[in-house]
Amino acid sequence: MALVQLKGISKSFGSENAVNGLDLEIKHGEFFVLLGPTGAGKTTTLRIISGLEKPDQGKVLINGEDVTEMQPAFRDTAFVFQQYSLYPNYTVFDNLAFPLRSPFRGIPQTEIQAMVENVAKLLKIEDKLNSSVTSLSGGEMQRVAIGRALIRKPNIYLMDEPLSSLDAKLREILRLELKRIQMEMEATILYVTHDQIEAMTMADSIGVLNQGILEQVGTPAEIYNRPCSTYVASRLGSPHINLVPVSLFKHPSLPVGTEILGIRPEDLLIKSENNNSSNISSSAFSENWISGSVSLVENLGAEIILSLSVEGHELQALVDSGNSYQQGDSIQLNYTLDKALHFDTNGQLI
Amino acid sequence: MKQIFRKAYGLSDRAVTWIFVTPTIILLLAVNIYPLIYAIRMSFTNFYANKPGREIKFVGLKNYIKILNKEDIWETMQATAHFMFWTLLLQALIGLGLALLLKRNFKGNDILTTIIVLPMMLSPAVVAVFWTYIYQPQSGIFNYIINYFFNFGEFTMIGDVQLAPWSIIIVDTWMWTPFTMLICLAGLKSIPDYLYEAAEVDRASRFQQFLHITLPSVLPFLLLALLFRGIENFKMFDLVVELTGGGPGSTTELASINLKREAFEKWRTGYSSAFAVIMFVTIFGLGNIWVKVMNKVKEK
Repeated sequence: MALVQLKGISKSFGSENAVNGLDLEIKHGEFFVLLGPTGAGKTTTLRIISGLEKPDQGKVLINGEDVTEMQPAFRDTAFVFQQYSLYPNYTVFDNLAFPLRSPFRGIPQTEIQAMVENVAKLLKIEDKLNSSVTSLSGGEMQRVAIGRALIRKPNIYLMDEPLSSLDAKLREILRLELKRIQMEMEATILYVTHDQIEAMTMADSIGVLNQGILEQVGTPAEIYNRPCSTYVASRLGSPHINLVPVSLFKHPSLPVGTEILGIRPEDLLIKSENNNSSNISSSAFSENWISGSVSLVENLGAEIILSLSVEGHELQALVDSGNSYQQGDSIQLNYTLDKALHFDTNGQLI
Repeated sequence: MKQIFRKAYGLSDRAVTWIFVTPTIILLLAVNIYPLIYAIRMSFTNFYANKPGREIKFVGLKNYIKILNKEDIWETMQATAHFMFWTLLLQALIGLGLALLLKRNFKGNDILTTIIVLPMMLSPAVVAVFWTYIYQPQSGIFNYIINYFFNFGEFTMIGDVQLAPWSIIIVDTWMWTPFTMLICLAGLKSIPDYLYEAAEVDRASRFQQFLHITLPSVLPFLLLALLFRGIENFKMFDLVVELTGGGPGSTTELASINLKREAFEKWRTGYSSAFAVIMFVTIFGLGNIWVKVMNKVKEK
């Protein structure tokens, strides 16, 4: 069992607060994703858990034991770095075997051999075992780096944007593989990323970080459907959520204090001359249609992203590719009432 | 650019290339290649540069055979090998050690580096003169310090048959260790921190980190520094001549010093040319082997 808890962790570099009073709990076998933009304190959090960085305040607990003052070597965590960080003078085999050869472990050679082959098979790099790591492609290097973490059975795997330097296709493949491996091994993973798709697809839980403060923790569905603030709402979803002043849609009965409406692009309803009933099925919507025009059409194949210009506001809508829109079309706009999110002046969900 | 040149001077690209390269080639031929070929030719003759009127006779391999059979030549070669082995070893170890210390960030790091590098910037002749005073048996600080710790009584570094070879090794190491240190430092600074962090999380001990990360990364740099030092020390002349003059007897008479005596004191030009060619081939061969080793290490 591995249970990792952070209690009131703060860390600053000079005058910059990297992490501010962070409380976090990662349960055994959980795939936890920390989501946030550059500088939100994601990497610092990882480094504090691994022991590469000491927090200014707060405690790190692994399985209930306070490890705040413990050296990295004795915390039994595995770290996958963004820059692969493979040992450049060694073969893939030696890189994978490196953690096992630690003098603190003392695993016999035959066992090491078997474990390395096992992990190589899991990551589909068996045929590369004797190659030098400098001759590998980016994707292969990252597999080796992940493999070097997987080969141990640590308390927790810490992964620092491991897929961010790969191309889109490879990223997609490794994303699925990583999730599969995690479920097979029942591994506990803390995964840091700024990529919302990685967060949505892999996570059991997502924590959204904003300038060193944890804004919200929840399942991907919770975070997507009930974001606690406009910040969280705009971190997830592509194209991202439309945040418009409540006055735009002149709807009479909204919760008290609503200032900002958050409407996902797929929840916008559009009427136009050519496409009379796009997105409009049985959902309740108000009778107040407002008019605007199409300023850009992006065809993604299965769907179309429409950029709409409505009374000085830019909105984005997602519609089926069965519809045909032209730039400059005039449209009538509305939204599904019960899907809309209501935020107050401070951007907090009501 | 191409157009302008053609229009202005009627020159093609190729012509311009030759105009730039030719002076260098002529200079190289005149001061490097021609003397080399000339020396090789002379090494097969009995030419004496101080006897211009004398007939120059072709003697075949006689000079080479004479040199290779002469015992004192082998002694100078031995002295050179002894000098090279110890200077390279000491400079590698101390240089790497200093580099490892200076790699850490601490206050005054820059100033300390500059101070350590100072000996390298001095002229070898000046260094040699300094050290003859440092080595003075009665007033020199070297003897004082050694006696402070070990109490050997009176001894002379330069005058003693046993100690003289070490006196030149110490001075060369003092002067040139900063060079290996600088190059090792460059190598060490090219190792990214995250490698050490990864190793730390992977539970590698300090010694393992050194063995698996530091050493493999710094080794190509160290070997390169030693290549330079090796070539320099094989033809070591100024420092030793000023310090010991090859003495006492011929204990510190390195090959290059012996060569100078044969060529410009005894004026046996043909004979010393042959000696020079032998030295050239030796250092060329050794250098090539070293470069091969270096490339192997780098590939790994």
